[in-house]
Amino acid sequence: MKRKFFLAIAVFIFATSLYAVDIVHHADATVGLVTQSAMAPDHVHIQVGYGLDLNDFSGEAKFQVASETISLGLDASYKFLDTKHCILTGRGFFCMELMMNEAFATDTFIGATVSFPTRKIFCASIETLCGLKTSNIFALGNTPALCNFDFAVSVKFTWDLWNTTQFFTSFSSYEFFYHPKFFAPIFATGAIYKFNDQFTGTVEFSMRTIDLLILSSYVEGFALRLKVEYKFK
Amino acid sequence: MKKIYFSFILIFVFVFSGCKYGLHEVFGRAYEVNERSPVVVNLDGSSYDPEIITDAEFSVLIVNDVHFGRTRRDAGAREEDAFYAKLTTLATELKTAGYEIKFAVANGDVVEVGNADLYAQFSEFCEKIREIVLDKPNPKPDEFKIYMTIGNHDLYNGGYSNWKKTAYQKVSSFKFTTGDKEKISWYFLDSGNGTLGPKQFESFKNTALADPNPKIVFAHYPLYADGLIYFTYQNRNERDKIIGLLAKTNTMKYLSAHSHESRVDYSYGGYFMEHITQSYLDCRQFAILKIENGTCTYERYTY
Repeated sequence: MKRKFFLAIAVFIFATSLYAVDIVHHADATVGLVTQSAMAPDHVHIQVGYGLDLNDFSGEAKFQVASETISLGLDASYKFLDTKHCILTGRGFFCMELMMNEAFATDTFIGATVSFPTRKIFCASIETLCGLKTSNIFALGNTPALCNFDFAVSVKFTWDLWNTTQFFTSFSSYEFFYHPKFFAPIFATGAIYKFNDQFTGTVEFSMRTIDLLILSSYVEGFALRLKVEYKFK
Repeated sequence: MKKIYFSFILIFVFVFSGCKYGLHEVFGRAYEVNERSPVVVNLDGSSYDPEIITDAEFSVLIVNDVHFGRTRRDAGAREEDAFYAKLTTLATELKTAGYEIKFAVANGDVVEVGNADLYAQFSEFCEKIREIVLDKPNPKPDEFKIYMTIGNHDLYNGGYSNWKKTAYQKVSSFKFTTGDKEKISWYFLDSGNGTLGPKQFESFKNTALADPNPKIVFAHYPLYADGLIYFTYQNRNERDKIIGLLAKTNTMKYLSAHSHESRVDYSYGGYFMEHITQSYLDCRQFAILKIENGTCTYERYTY
């Protein structure tokens, strides 16, 4: 009985604390075209996501359907430090992907992002993550999953212009639903346009490469994405 | 300020044009894998076929990461003579035991960069191997065939044209069959860009699925290699598809190279084995594959 009582108090305190914080919800939908990649022909993928921001905490769930894969991902981050010139954020995410009739894969990564904003116009961010990739290949029957310890890095620059538009360019070893082994970088650039306080639109163009570190020089494919995001309280 | 600006441009131009590894080709070169190897060419019945039509035992010599144009990292020298001496002894022993070396495979990175003079050095190396194995002077390339797969180093500085002139079989993705009743299919894939590319993979998939024979597959890049953190196929979906395909198509062995130091013998749940042969140059390694009654045994040697 005591336990239930304390549990009820704990839930009450947590619930009231949620009311105390400023919660912002956001939902987004993305349509993307990926040109011929290493294995799949040109394909369209559709992504939907829902997330919420609670002061320094952000969480998001994403779902993607592509020609050969279905993916689900959870992303969480917490801002440990937020000063005028430096923002330190801890981040972790978990993605799972079902490749039809072939394999089931997961990616679990944890790390940190350091951002250096300048005059509220320019911002440079560096993210480093480490994690585990697993693959269960159906043709191998009950063979244990193939596991790879791996790293991920991302460097991103943003410019805010005219209070409505943000341009960005990045160099990253992964995308949220695309996790090549280190180091097959993805170069991306694009813009986010703020229609009003609730709606934003994003256009992004990216180029995927293979094994750039040892100059194997293979551009695996290009991706073009259009995204619409809606924010509400 | 102008000085700094021009110095920066000069350094940039120097680095991107002067690097012997062809840094200016960082985002692409004239012949990438989809152009080089759109299909797996069947050499059966052609003059490039090794013409092994009996079920008698034989063996195959495997060398990789020979890297002509560079010396050994820890010794500052190359030691071809030591290899020739070891091969002379081994070839005689194998012949005596009934496992004569019938052909050889150079599994990628035969040169440090793709220059013609380095490929000429590799051709001399091949001539010497032929002389040792056949135990006679100046044999023709047809008498002892040395097949080549493409490695990433072979392609540097537009090296593909030189590779093509040097490779005995002239094509970069191919297969042939050996044996009579106990047939074995041998596949040699082009992974020089760290990927098979969609065209070659599709061709390999269709060919392998229609081919009931046990298979031995050569490619420069390792697949998974017991969790090797780098030097494997980087697109995980591609890797998983290749592994799945090999498991489904009666593959015995996947033989790779590329990582130099890694000594990996990994079993994919008993479906097939992946072996990485260490570098000929840096680790003084080579391997022998013994074929007997449709089965094969992989053995490493140090010179």
